[in-house]
Amino acid sequence: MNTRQIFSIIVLALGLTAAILPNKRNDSFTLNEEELLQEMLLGKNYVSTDELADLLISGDPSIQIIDVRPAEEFKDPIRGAINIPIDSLFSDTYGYLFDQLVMKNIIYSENDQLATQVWMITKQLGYKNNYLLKGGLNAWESTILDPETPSQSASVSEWDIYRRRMAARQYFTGAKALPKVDVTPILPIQGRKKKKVQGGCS
Amino acid sequence: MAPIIPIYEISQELNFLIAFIIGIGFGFALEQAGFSSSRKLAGMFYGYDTTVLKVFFTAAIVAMLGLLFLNHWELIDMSIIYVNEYYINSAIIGGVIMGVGFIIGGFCPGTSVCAAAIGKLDAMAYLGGALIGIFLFGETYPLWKDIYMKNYLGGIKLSTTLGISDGLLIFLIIAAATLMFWVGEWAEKKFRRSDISKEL
Amino acid sequence: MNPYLAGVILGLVLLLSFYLTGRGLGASGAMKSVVVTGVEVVAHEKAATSDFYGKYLEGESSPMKNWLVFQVLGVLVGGFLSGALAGRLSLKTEHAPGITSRKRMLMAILGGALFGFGSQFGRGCTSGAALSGMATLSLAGFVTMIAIFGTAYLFAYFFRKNWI
Repeated sequence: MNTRQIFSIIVLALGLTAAILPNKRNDSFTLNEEELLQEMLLGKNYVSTDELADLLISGDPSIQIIDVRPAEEFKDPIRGAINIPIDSLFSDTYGYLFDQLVMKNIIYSENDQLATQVWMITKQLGYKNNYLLKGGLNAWESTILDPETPSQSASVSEWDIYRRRMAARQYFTGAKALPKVDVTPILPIQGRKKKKVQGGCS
Repeated sequence: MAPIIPIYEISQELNFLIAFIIGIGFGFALEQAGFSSSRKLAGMFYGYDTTVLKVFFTAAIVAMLGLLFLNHWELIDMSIIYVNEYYINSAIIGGVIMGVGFIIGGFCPGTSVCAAAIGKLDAMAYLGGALIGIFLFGETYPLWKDIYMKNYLGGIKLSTTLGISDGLLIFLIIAAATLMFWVGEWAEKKFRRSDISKEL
Repeated sequence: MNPYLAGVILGLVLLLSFYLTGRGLGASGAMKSVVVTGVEVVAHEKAATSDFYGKYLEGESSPMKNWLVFQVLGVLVGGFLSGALAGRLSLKTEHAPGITSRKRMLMAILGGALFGFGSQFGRGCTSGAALSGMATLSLAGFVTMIAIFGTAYLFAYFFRKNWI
C-alpha cells in the first residue's frame, strides 16, 4: 500500500468514529454536577448564623448580605442586608453584585430553598464569593434573635455558644446597638467574563 | 480546559511569544511541504503537482478531527473558539478576487511570506503587491462598505446549516478529501511534467 | 517531505494554535497591520477618520502589536529554518521558461495586489479564512475556500503560459 492509501484508511476510520460521537458542548466556566455536589457536601458554601453574627459585630467591611425574598416579603432583614428579589437578580442594577471578586456575598431567604437556588445559579455562571446563610432567616431568628436556653445538663460549650448568642442578640436587638454602618464597595467590581476570541484576518 | 490563553487570562507578551512560536511551526510546515515554490503551488491547477490539495486538506482534516476529539474529551471549550463570521456577499466576492490573484500571482499571502524567507524574489514582489492591494481596498473602502457588510449570518457552522452533527460532517469531508487525493494522484500521472517536477 | 506528513504537521500546528489561543492561523491580517501603520505614519489625520483604518487605530497600542504580526514574523523564521535545512536558500525568480523574469515579477505584483484586495474583501486569506475556517467547520471558511480554488481553476487555462 502506498502512503495515500494508508493515510486515507486512518483518516476514514477516525472520521467514522467522529461521525458516531454525539454533538457536545463544554463550558469552561461552569461546574459539573459532581463538583457542585462536592462543594455542598463539604459545606464550603455555607456561613452559619453564628459566623455571620460574629462578622457583623466585628464590623467586617468585606461582607455583603443579600436578601433574595420577593420585594413584598422583605421586612425585618438582617442588619445591612440589601434586597434583591429573585426576578431582578441579574438585572443591570444588581447583576454586578454577584459577579465580583471583592466582597463576600452572603445570600439568604426565609429558609434555605430560594437562596440555594440563587446560589446554584451563581455557581453555574462561574461567579465566585457567593455563600449561603445556613438555615436562612428562620435559623437567624431562632439562634441569634431568640436563642433557645440550653437545658441545665448541657455541656459547657453549649452554654458558651448560648452566651455568645445572647450577646449577639443584645447587639442586634437591644439598646446597645451601634448605629448602622452602610458599607459600600470601594474597589471597582469586575468579574471574570467569558470573552470571545478575536480571530480570522479581519 | 483549553483554549488556555483566553481562559486563564495569560499576559499579552506571552501570547505574542506563543504567536511567534506557532508562526515558526506554520512557516516550517509550509516550507517543508514545498509551498515556497510558486510553480509547485500552481501545479495544482494544471494537475502536474497536487501537493497543495493534499497538504491543505490533510491539515484541515487533522485540525477538525483534533478539535472534535478535544471537545469530546472535555479538553476544550468550543464556544470560545473563533468561528469565522459569514457575510455571504463579501466571502464570495473576496474569494473570487483571491482566486484570480492566486492563479496570476502563484502564491497566497502565507506561502509568499514563507517563499520570501528563503529568497524567492517573485515572492517578495508578491508581498509588495499584497500590501498595495490592501492599501487600495482601504482607500476605496467607502465604495464597498455596503456590499462588505451585507447579508451577515454571524459565526455560523456548516454543520448547523446542513442540520447534521459535527462528526458526520467531518466524516463526509474526509470521504470527499480521500476521493480528491485519489484523483490528485491520478492527475499527477496523467498530466506529468517531469521537466517541471525536476526543477522544483 | 511527503505531502501527507507535511499536512499532518501543519494540521497539528493549527490545532495547537486553537488549543492555546482559541484562534487559527493567518497571514493577510498581519499585512493589513503593516498597511494601517504605514498610512497612520504618513497621514495621521486621514487614517484616524477613515472608516477602514480607523477601526484598527482605536486602541492605545500600535496596530503592529497584533497577534498575527508576531505569528507572521514566526513564519519568516520558520520558513527560513526549513529552507536552510533543506538547502533551498537562494535568491531567484521562479517562472516558466516561456516568460521572462520581468513578466513574472509584474504578474507577481498584480497577483499579490488582487489577493491582498480580495483578502480584505473576504475577511481573510487562504490561511485565516479558508484553512482555519474549515477547521472550525465555519460556513464562511468553506465558502471562501470553494470561491478561491474554484475561481483559480476557472482562470487557470488563461494563465497557463506563466506556469507550464
